[in-house]
Amino acid sequence: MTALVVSADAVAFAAFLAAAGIIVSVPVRPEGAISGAAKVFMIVAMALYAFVMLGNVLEHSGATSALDPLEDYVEVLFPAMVLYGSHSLQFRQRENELLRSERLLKRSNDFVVDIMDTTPAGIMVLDHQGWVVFANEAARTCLDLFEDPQTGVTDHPGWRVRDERYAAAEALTDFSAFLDGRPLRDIPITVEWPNGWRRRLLLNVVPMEDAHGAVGGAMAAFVDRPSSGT
Amino acid sequence: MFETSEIVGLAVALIMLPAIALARRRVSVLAGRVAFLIAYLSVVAALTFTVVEGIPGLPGEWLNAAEHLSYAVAGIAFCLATWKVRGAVLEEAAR
Repeated sequence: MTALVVSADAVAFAAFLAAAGIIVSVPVRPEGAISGAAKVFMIVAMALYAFVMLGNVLEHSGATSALDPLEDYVEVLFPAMVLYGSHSLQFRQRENELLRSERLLKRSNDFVVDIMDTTPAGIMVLDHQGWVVFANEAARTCLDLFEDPQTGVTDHPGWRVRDERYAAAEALTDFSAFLDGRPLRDIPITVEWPNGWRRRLLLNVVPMEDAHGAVGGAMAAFVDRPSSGT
Repeated sequence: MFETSEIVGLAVALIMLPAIALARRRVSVLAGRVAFLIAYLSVVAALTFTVVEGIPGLPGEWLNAAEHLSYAVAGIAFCLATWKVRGAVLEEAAR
Protein backbone atom coordinates (compact mmCIF):
# COMPACT_ATOMS: atom_id res chain seq x y z
CA MET A 1 0.00 0.00 0.00
CA THR A 2 2.87 2.37 0.86
CA ALA A 3 4.35 1.82 -2.58
CA LEU A 4 1.03 2.76 -4.17
CA VAL A 5 0.80 5.93 -2.06
CA VAL A 6 4.38 6.96 -2.81
CA SER A 7 3.90 6.24 -6.53
CA ALA A 8 0.68 8.30 -6.59
CA ASP A 9 2.44 11.16 -4.79
CA ALA A 10 5.36 11.00 -7.22
CA VAL A 11 2.99 11.10 -10.20
CA ALA A 12 1.07 13.99 -8.60
CA PHE A 13 4.31 15.89 -7.87
CA ALA A 14 5.52 15.48 -11.45
CA ALA A 15 2.11 16.42 -12.86
CA PHE A 16 1.68 19.57 -10.73
CA LEU A 17 5.24 20.62 -11.53
CA ALA A 18 4.62 20.01 -15.23
CA ALA A 19 1.36 21.99 -15.04
CA ALA A 20 3.25 24.92 -13.47
CA GLY A 21 5.88 24.65 -16.21
CA ILE A 22 3.24 24.59 -18.94
CA ILE A 23 1.62 27.74 -17.56
CA VAL A 24 5.03 29.44 -17.44
CA SER A 25 5.37 28.72 -21.17
CA VAL A 26 1.96 30.24 -22.03
CA PRO A 27 2.59 33.59 -23.74
CA VAL A 28 0.79 36.64 -22.34
CA ARG A 29 -0.25 39.11 -25.03
CA PRO A 30 -2.24 42.34 -24.87
CA GLU A 31 -5.90 41.36 -25.44
CA GLY A 32 -4.98 37.67 -25.28
CA ALA A 33 -7.14 35.18 -23.36
CA ILE A 34 -4.62 34.92 -20.53
CA SER A 35 -3.67 37.90 -18.41
CA GLY A 36 -0.42 38.20 -16.48
CA ALA A 37 -2.31 38.08 -13.17
CA ALA A 38 -4.14 34.86 -14.11
CA LYS A 39 -0.85 33.29 -15.16
CA VAL A 40 0.89 34.19 -11.91
CA PHE A 41 -1.98 32.92 -9.74
CA MET A 42 -2.16 29.62 -11.60
CA ILE A 43 1.62 29.13 -11.46
CA VAL A 44 1.54 29.75 -7.71
CA ALA A 45 -1.41 27.34 -7.28
CA MET A 46 0.35 24.53 -9.19
CA ALA A 47 3.65 25.19 -7.43
CA LEU A 48 1.93 25.06 -4.04
CA TYR A 49 0.53 21.61 -4.72
CA ALA A 50 3.81 20.43 -6.24
CA PHE A 51 5.32 21.42 -2.90
CA VAL A 52 2.64 19.47 -0.99
CA MET A 53 3.22 16.42 -3.16
CA LEU A 54 6.98 16.68 -2.68
CA GLY A 55 6.37 16.77 1.08
CA ASN A 56 4.18 13.65 0.79
CA VAL A 57 6.76 11.78 -1.28
CA LEU A 58 9.50 12.59 1.22
CA GLU A 59 7.27 11.68 4.17
CA HIS A 60 5.90 8.39 2.82
CA SER A 61 9.24 7.26 1.46
CA GLY A 62 10.65 7.77 4.95
CA ALA A 63 13.11 10.48 3.95
CA THR A 64 11.80 13.35 6.12
CA SER A 65 8.59 14.78 7.57
CA ALA A 66 10.01 18.28 7.80
CA LEU A 67 7.65 19.73 5.19
CA ASP A 68 4.55 18.18 6.77
CA PRO A 69 3.64 21.12 9.09
CA LEU A 70 3.66 23.53 6.12
CA GLU A 71 1.39 21.39 3.96
CA ASP A 72 -1.80 22.32 5.80
CA TYR A 73 -1.21 26.04 5.23
CA VAL A 74 -0.41 25.46 1.59
CA GLU A 75 -3.57 23.40 1.10
CA VAL A 76 -5.67 26.29 2.41
CA LEU A 77 -3.95 28.74 0.04
CA PHE A 78 -4.51 26.58 -3.03
CA PRO A 79 -8.29 27.20 -3.58
CA ALA A 80 -7.75 30.95 -3.11
CA MET A 81 -5.05 30.99 -5.79
CA VAL A 82 -7.24 28.98 -8.18
CA LEU A 83 -10.16 31.34 -7.53
CA TYR A 84 -8.02 34.43 -8.12
CA GLY A 85 -6.71 32.86 -11.31
CA SER A 86 -10.21 32.02 -12.53
CA HIS A 87 -11.50 35.50 -11.78
CA SER A 88 -8.52 37.08 -13.50
CA LEU A 89 -9.37 35.06 -16.61
CA GLN A 90 -12.96 36.20 -16.38
CA PHE A 91 -11.95 39.86 -16.00
CA ARG A 92 -9.64 39.58 -18.98
CA GLN A 93 -12.44 38.11 -21.08
CA ARG A 94 -14.84 40.93 -20.10
CA GLU A 95 -12.11 43.48 -20.77
CA ASN A 96 -11.50 42.01 -24.24
CA GLU A 97 -15.22 41.95 -25.00
CA LEU A 98 -15.49 45.62 -24.02
CA LEU A 99 -12.51 46.56 -26.19
CA ARG A 100 -13.97 44.68 -29.16
CA SER A 101 -17.39 46.33 -28.68
CA GLU A 102 -15.78 49.76 -28.39
CA ARG A 103 -13.85 49.18 -31.60
CA LEU A 104 -16.95 47.97 -33.46
CA LEU A 105 -18.93 50.95 -32.19
CA LYS A 106 -16.23 53.38 -33.33
CA ARG A 107 -16.06 51.72 -36.75
CA SER A 108 -19.83 51.89 -37.07
CA ASN A 109 -19.81 55.54 -35.96
CA ASP A 110 -17.06 56.43 -38.45
CA PHE A 111 -19.05 54.69 -41.18
CA VAL A 112 -22.17 56.76 -40.43
CA VAL A 113 -20.15 59.99 -40.29
CA ASP A 114 -18.54 59.13 -43.64
CA ILE A 115 -21.97 58.60 -45.19
CA MET A 116 -23.20 61.90 -43.75
CA ASP A 117 -20.13 63.75 -45.04
CA THR A 118 -20.69 62.51 -48.60
CA THR A 119 -24.28 63.71 -48.84
CA PRO A 120 -24.91 67.23 -50.27
CA ALA A 121 -27.68 67.87 -47.72
CA GLY A 122 -26.78 69.55 -44.45
CA ILE A 123 -27.29 67.22 -41.48
CA MET A 124 -27.14 68.39 -37.88
CA VAL A 125 -27.79 67.00 -34.43
CA LEU A 126 -29.40 69.59 -32.16
CA ASP A 127 -29.40 69.48 -28.38
CA HIS A 128 -32.53 70.14 -26.33
CA GLN A 129 -31.90 73.91 -26.55
CA GLY A 130 -31.59 73.87 -30.32
CA TRP A 131 -27.81 74.28 -30.43
CA VAL A 132 -25.85 72.38 -33.05
CA VAL A 133 -23.82 69.63 -31.39
CA PHE A 134 -22.90 67.78 -34.58
CA ALA A 135 -22.86 68.85 -38.20
CA ASN A 136 -21.80 67.05 -41.35
CA GLU A 137 -19.44 68.58 -43.89
CA ALA A 138 -22.25 70.14 -45.96
CA ALA A 139 -23.87 71.74 -42.88
CA ARG A 140 -20.56 73.07 -41.62
CA THR A 141 -19.81 74.64 -45.02
CA CYS A 142 -23.29 75.99 -45.61
CA LEU A 143 -23.74 77.55 -42.16
CA ASP A 144 -20.09 78.50 -41.51
CA LEU A 145 -20.07 76.27 -38.45
CA PHE A 146 -16.80 75.83 -36.64
CA GLU A 147 -15.61 73.93 -33.63
CA ASP A 148 -14.07 75.77 -30.73
CA PRO A 149 -10.65 74.10 -30.42
CA GLN A 150 -10.62 74.69 -26.65
CA THR A 151 -14.06 73.37 -25.72
CA GLY A 152 -14.93 71.25 -28.76
CA VAL A 153 -18.33 73.00 -28.90
CA THR A 154 -19.79 73.75 -32.32
CA ASP A 155 -20.43 77.47 -32.85
CA HIS A 156 -21.48 79.82 -35.67
CA PRO A 157 -20.58 83.38 -36.73
CA GLY A 158 -23.72 84.92 -35.22
CA TRP A 159 -26.40 84.23 -37.81
CA ARG A 160 -30.09 84.11 -36.91
CA VAL A 161 -32.70 81.60 -38.04
CA ARG A 162 -36.25 82.63 -38.91
CA ASP A 163 -39.21 80.31 -39.44
CA GLU A 164 -40.85 81.69 -42.58
CA ARG A 165 -44.17 79.98 -41.94
CA TYR A 166 -45.00 82.76 -39.52
CA ALA A 167 -44.57 86.38 -40.52
CA ALA A 168 -44.05 87.48 -36.92
CA ALA A 169 -41.59 84.71 -36.04
CA GLU A 170 -38.59 85.92 -34.09
CA ALA A 171 -35.15 85.31 -35.56
CA LEU A 172 -33.14 83.16 -33.15
CA THR A 173 -29.48 82.26 -32.86
CA ASP A 174 -30.39 78.58 -32.52
CA PHE A 175 -32.91 76.06 -33.82
CA SER A 176 -35.03 75.92 -30.64
CA ALA A 177 -38.12 77.14 -32.53
CA PHE A 178 -38.23 73.79 -34.31
CA LEU A 179 -38.09 71.60 -31.22
CA ASP A 180 -41.69 71.02 -30.23
CA GLY A 181 -41.43 67.25 -30.06
CA ARG A 182 -43.03 66.70 -33.46
CA PRO A 183 -41.35 65.81 -36.71
CA LEU A 184 -41.30 68.70 -39.17
CA ARG A 185 -40.99 68.44 -42.92
CA ASP A 186 -39.99 70.98 -45.60
CA ILE A 187 -40.11 74.00 -43.30
CA PRO A 188 -38.98 77.14 -45.14
CA ILE A 189 -36.40 78.99 -43.08
CA THR A 190 -34.05 81.86 -43.60
CA VAL A 191 -30.63 82.09 -42.03
CA GLU A 192 -29.33 85.67 -41.88
CA TRP A 193 -25.68 86.48 -41.24
CA PRO A 194 -24.68 89.64 -39.28
CA ASN A 195 -23.51 91.26 -42.54
CA GLY A 196 -27.00 90.88 -44.03
CA TRP A 197 -26.23 87.91 -46.23
CA ARG A 198 -29.10 85.41 -46.26
CA ARG A 199 -29.55 81.80 -47.06
CA ARG A 200 -32.95 80.26 -47.70
CA LEU A 201 -33.31 76.65 -46.74
CA LEU A 202 -35.83 73.85 -46.43
CA LEU A 203 -35.57 72.17 -43.05
CA ASN A 204 -36.63 68.70 -41.87
CA VAL A 205 -36.56 67.87 -38.17
CA VAL A 206 -36.98 64.54 -36.39
CA PRO A 207 -37.12 64.65 -32.57
CA MET A 208 -34.77 62.41 -30.65
CA GLU A 209 -35.42 60.89 -27.26
CA ASP A 210 -32.94 60.99 -24.42
CA ALA A 211 -32.14 58.00 -22.17
CA HIS A 212 -35.34 58.62 -20.16
CA GLY A 213 -37.68 58.76 -23.17
CA ALA A 214 -38.08 62.56 -23.09
CA VAL A 215 -37.37 64.74 -26.14
CA GLY A 216 -33.67 65.36 -25.84
CA GLY A 217 -32.96 67.19 -29.08
CA ALA A 218 -33.43 66.50 -32.75
CA MET A 219 -31.88 65.35 -35.96
CA ALA A 220 -32.20 68.08 -38.59
CA ALA A 221 -31.48 68.06 -42.29
CA PHE A 222 -31.69 70.92 -44.76
CA VAL A 223 -31.23 71.71 -48.42
CA ASP A 224 -30.94 75.01 -50.23
CA ARG A 225 -34.07 76.58 -51.63
CA PRO A 226 -33.85 78.20 -55.08
CA SER A 227 -32.71 81.83 -55.07
CA SER A 228 -30.71 81.28 -51.90
CA GLY A 229 -28.03 83.83 -51.03
CA THR A 230 -29.32 87.34 -51.48
CA MET B 1 -8.90 11.36 14.84
CA PHE B 2 -9.87 14.49 12.95
CA GLU B 3 -7.31 17.22 12.48
CA THR B 4 -8.69 20.76 12.58
CA SER B 5 -6.40 21.95 9.79
CA GLU B 6 -7.67 19.19 7.49
CA ILE B 7 -11.30 20.14 8.14
CA VAL B 8 -10.50 23.82 7.54
CA GLY B 9 -8.73 22.93 4.28
CA LEU B 10 -11.73 20.94 3.09
CA ALA B 11 -14.17 23.68 4.15
CA VAL B 12 -12.22 26.36 2.27
CA ALA B 13 -12.02 24.19 -0.85
CA LEU B 14 -15.76 23.44 -0.69
CA ILE B 15 -16.74 27.08 -0.07
CA MET B 16 -14.72 28.19 -3.09
CA LEU B 17 -15.96 25.39 -5.35
CA PRO B 18 -19.16 27.17 -6.59
CA ALA B 19 -17.28 30.43 -7.17
CA ILE B 20 -14.54 28.65 -9.12
CA ALA B 21 -17.02 26.60 -11.15
CA LEU B 22 -19.05 29.73 -11.96
CA ALA B 23 -16.00 31.78 -12.89
CA ARG B 24 -14.74 29.02 -15.16
CA ARG B 25 -18.14 28.57 -16.79
CA ARG B 26 -18.25 32.26 -17.68
CA VAL B 27 -14.87 32.12 -19.38
CA SER B 28 -16.13 31.08 -22.79
CA VAL B 29 -12.87 31.41 -24.67
CA LEU B 30 -10.88 29.09 -22.49
CA ALA B 31 -10.14 25.51 -23.45
CA GLY B 32 -9.71 22.73 -20.87
CA ARG B 33 -12.57 23.81 -18.65
CA VAL B 34 -13.82 20.24 -18.06
CA ALA B 35 -10.32 18.98 -17.25
CA PHE B 36 -9.87 21.92 -14.90
CA LEU B 37 -13.12 21.19 -13.07
CA ILE B 38 -12.25 17.48 -12.80
CA ALA B 39 -8.86 18.48 -11.38
CA TYR B 40 -10.36 20.77 -8.76
CA LEU B 41 -13.01 18.20 -7.82
CA SER B 42 -10.23 15.63 -7.42
CA VAL B 43 -8.48 17.96 -4.98
CA VAL B 44 -11.76 18.33 -3.05
CA ALA B 45 -12.13 14.53 -3.09
CA ALA B 46 -8.59 14.13 -1.78
CA LEU B 47 -9.24 16.59 1.04
CA THR B 48 -12.48 14.72 1.84
CA PHE B 49 -10.64 11.38 2.01
CA THR B 50 -8.07 13.03 4.29
CA VAL B 51 -10.80 14.00 6.74
CA VAL B 52 -12.84 10.80 6.42
CA GLU B 53 -9.86 8.48 6.96
CA GLY B 54 -9.79 9.75 10.57
CA ILE B 55 -13.22 8.31 11.33
CA PRO B 56 -12.84 5.17 13.48
CA GLY B 57 -14.19 1.98 11.91
CA LEU B 58 -13.56 3.05 8.32
CA PRO B 59 -10.75 1.45 6.27
CA GLY B 60 -8.23 4.23 6.91
CA GLU B 61 -5.47 2.67 4.83
CA TRP B 62 -7.67 2.43 1.72
CA LEU B 63 -9.01 5.93 2.22
CA ASN B 64 -5.45 7.20 2.53
CA ALA B 65 -4.59 5.49 -0.76
CA ALA B 66 -7.71 7.01 -2.33
CA GLU B 67 -6.57 10.44 -1.12
CA HIS B 68 -3.17 10.13 -2.78
CA LEU B 69 -4.63 8.65 -5.96
CA SER B 70 -7.04 11.61 -6.09
CA TYR B 71 -4.06 13.97 -5.92
CA ALA B 72 -2.46 12.07 -8.79
CA VAL B 73 -5.66 12.38 -10.84
CA ALA B 74 -5.84 16.10 -9.95
CA GLY B 75 -2.25 16.66 -11.06
CA ILE B 76 -2.76 14.85 -14.37
CA ALA B 77 -6.04 16.71 -15.00
CA PHE B 78 -4.42 20.08 -14.22
CA CYS B 79 -1.60 19.15 -16.56
CA LEU B 80 -4.10 18.33 -19.31
CA ALA B 81 -6.12 21.50 -18.66
CA THR B 82 -3.06 23.78 -18.77
CA TRP B 83 -1.81 22.02 -21.91
CA LYS B 84 -5.14 22.67 -23.62
CA VAL B 85 -5.07 26.30 -22.49
CA ARG B 86 -1.55 26.66 -23.86
CA GLY B 87 -2.65 25.15 -27.20
CA ALA B 88 -5.65 27.49 -27.41
CA VAL B 89 -3.55 30.56 -26.56
CA LEU B 90 -0.88 29.65 -29.15
CA GLU B 91 -3.58 29.01 -31.74
CA GLU B 92 -5.14 32.38 -30.94
CA ALA B 93 -1.75 34.07 -31.24
CA ALA B 94 -1.13 32.43 -34.63
CA ARG B 95 -4.43 33.78 -36.03
